[in-house]
Amino acid sequence: MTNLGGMFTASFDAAAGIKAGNLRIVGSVVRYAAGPLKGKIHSYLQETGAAGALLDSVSGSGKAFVRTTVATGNPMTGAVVAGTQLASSLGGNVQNEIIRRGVNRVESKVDALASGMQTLENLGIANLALGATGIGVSLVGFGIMNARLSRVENTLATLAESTDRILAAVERIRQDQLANEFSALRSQVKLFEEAWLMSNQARATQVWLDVAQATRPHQDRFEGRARELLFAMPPEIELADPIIDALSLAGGLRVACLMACNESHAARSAASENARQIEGLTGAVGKADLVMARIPPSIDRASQEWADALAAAIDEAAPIAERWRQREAVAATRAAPLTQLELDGIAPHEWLKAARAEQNEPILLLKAT
Amino acid sequence: MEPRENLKAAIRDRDVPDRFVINAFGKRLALAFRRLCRNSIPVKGEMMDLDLLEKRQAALSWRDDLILEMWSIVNRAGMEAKLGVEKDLAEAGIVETLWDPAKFTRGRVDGAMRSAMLNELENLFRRAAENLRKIDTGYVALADALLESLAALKLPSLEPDDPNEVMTDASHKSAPAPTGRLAAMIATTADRDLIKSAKEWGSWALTMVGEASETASQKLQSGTGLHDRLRRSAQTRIETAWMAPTGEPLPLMGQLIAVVENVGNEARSMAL
Repeated sequence: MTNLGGMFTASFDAAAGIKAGNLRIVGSVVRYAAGPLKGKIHSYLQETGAAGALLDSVSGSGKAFVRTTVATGNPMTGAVVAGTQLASSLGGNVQNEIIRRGVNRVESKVDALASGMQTLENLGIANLALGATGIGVSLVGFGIMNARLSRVENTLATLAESTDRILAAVERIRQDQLANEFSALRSQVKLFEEAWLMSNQARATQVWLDVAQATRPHQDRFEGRARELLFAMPPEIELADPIIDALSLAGGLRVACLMACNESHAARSAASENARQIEGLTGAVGKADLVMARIPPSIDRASQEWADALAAAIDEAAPIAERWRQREAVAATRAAPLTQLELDGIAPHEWLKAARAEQNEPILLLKAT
Repeated sequence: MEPRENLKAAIRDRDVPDRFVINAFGKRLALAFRRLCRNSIPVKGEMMDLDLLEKRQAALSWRDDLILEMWSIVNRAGMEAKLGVEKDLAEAGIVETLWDPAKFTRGRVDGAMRSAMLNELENLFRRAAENLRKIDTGYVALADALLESLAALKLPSLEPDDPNEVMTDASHKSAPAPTGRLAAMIATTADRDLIKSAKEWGSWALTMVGEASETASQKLQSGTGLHDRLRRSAQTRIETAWMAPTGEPLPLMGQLIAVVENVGNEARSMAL
């Protein structure tokens, strides 16, 4: 086992078990899938500061990423398309890099990104890590949060360009107000981030508490908007999706703030409430709902054309449904490490700080004891 | 008197049957005992309600797979039924083609639908019940109820029980309250198109009837597109009586969706 600063172990401790089928990931928790410990928790996954570099690299080719992700419902596919652009972008910059910093430095940067992506793929959580929700306490830096917020905003903007119907729905939920919500949320993230730089812990704690409090109305409004879209007839599922991502981000910010203040009980409560909100929205919306919403009503039933449309819709909806289940599971397990941290005698603030400081591994484990 | 005291008095004066109190208490006790058992297992790792979350998700996934498989089966049966009508088109007389196409198509469609799908549906439900039991042993009763529900399905009748029904076969009836969220969503999106088709069909039919003569032959029927009227009638019968998620009486697909939704919701509620 690789012990990192007494708080984390490297994720490859779980990768082999996951590959062999002895372990499986549920949200941000690794569970035993077989044997006498079946169902028990093996470890807790936590994204680190290094995950920010990966997100930034993908966001560099953001438009392609978002468009492909919206089209396929799969962030990993989006990452592959965006990655092609990223590679050419890196290639174009190679000469400058060589001049400025030397060949080795460039190679190590690319290697680190590739290695980080490989780690995520080995664990089978690349989609989750590149998605809006993230893994574990989903916020370990402004870069990560900002990248995710931008992605949600871009997704909404891309959707608004697609059809008049969706544009009408966007207008119905007041696009201008939605933009203000995102702007306000981004400001709160900046405040959260600035507090980490404060020398006085008491002042920082007050800022985090204020951010947690100020974010609450945004979280509730995101929930209200998503509910309005999702429970309309017919439902605007595609549009509701990024707003639920925003709800998850707001909830994640509140949990991170409360953990930074070492308010474990409040953090647990905030995480639990956010999980209930998210499951209350999408918990009863399954693949069948997503599929039926995608079949054009102009196609006659009892026809090969309808059968083909059904098969195509299943292919499209399956990864989206999978992502929704993962989002629910991540929200439900966000505060899961807190009990373990109490057992280990580690303050949540210190743990979060260590995760933020990690720049090599995008995902680390907190072992269950 | 303060509002709270009012409330207390109202509760005190209410005659609450003992069985309610006992049931509520029993449920709480059972839940508390379950939590106690979970928390007291002395093994590594913290036990959470992840089991329940996974069970809810598994129940939803079970419901999704079953509903999508049902759609496939019913759609396939519909295709076979349409093929059967197509083969018999030459047998259609001009009178029924013009004035009563449903009389020609209804029995053929219903008979073909029955023979094409009933066995498949039964096998599907048997597999689905087994899968439900695998998710949790507590779902055995629900799985049994699912199987029993097959016997309670009301298939579209082979013969029209109301003479006016034949006449209204091609028209769109107002749908009753949907049987569930999924059914309502499908009906909402499909309604727009059905209304449009009915209008188009209406104007087309008026023109054709005016042009048809009493001595119309099969050639005439085929040549003027009157066979399309039979095809359209078969399509309407399949869509409204078999494949629509809503309608009065409730079409088969609506009944199937309602059964699966009920069982799925119950399974999810049991995992709360």
